[in-house]
Amino acid sequence: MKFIDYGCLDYRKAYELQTEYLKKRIAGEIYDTVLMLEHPPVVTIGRLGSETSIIDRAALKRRGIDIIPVDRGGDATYHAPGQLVIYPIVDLGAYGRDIHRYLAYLETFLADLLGAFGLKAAIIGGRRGAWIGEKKAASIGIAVKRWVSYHGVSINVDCDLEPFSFIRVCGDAAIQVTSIARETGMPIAVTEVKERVQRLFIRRFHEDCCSAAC
Amino acid sequence: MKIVVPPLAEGVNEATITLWLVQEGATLGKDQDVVEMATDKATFTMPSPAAGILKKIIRGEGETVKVGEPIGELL
Repeated sequence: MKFIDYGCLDYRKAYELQTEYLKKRIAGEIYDTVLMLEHPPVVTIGRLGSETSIIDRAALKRRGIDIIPVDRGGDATYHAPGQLVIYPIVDLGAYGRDIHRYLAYLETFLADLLGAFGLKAAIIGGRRGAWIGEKKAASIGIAVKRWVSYHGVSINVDCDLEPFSFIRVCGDAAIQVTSIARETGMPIAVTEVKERVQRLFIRRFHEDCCSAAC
Repeated sequence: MKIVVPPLAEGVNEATITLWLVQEGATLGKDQDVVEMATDKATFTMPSPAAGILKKIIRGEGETVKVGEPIGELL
């Protein structure tokens, strides 16, 4: 498994990049590859969302934040610098071709990652993501083609959270969001979180995948 | 030949059709992407099981379908 850091990359360019990795992974030309990056401010709407996922279009426009429909599962979310985005391009054969098992794996990985910063993240049945109290700190949305998964997770490290109030996060206007920095009361760089990703992702992968299917 | 909903996860019997990527009457190659469905926080793109013509779309976008259920018909 290879981990690649792309720094801060425009959403559309990152999507093209994902698509290239996806094609290569489907063709068996590369191993599982995990892309780590940040996006400039952007709202994306997954397949379960719609126009009604946007609450304040004018506020987004004032800030120059584009709204992009995308082919992942889930509803609306917001990306910005200070939020770590992880796109694992992985073959779900290792998960017994079980999409929910992989989603559960991503949840436990997110809880591990937040736990590394002293935060106790809850996994709530039926509400995918990682929650600190009633607030969402990390989101999940994936797409699967030929049993290779793309898209992935986003973790609010130390980003501007206000634009989340302009959308219905995951289609629910009542959902509030938080970040690692807000919960710990300390500023934190995305690079500090990135440094933990590789070890925790692989550890969790081995525990989950290799204990059963491999 | 029928296009049927594949098993997507253990214990999950349903999915929602989110997008037909081809229209009725389209000529399909084997393994060409045909339909996208969603379960939980995931979408799943399904390839055509064989080469042929998409004779009929049985279940449309937004419909909830069961695993094993025919959603399209190939000629």
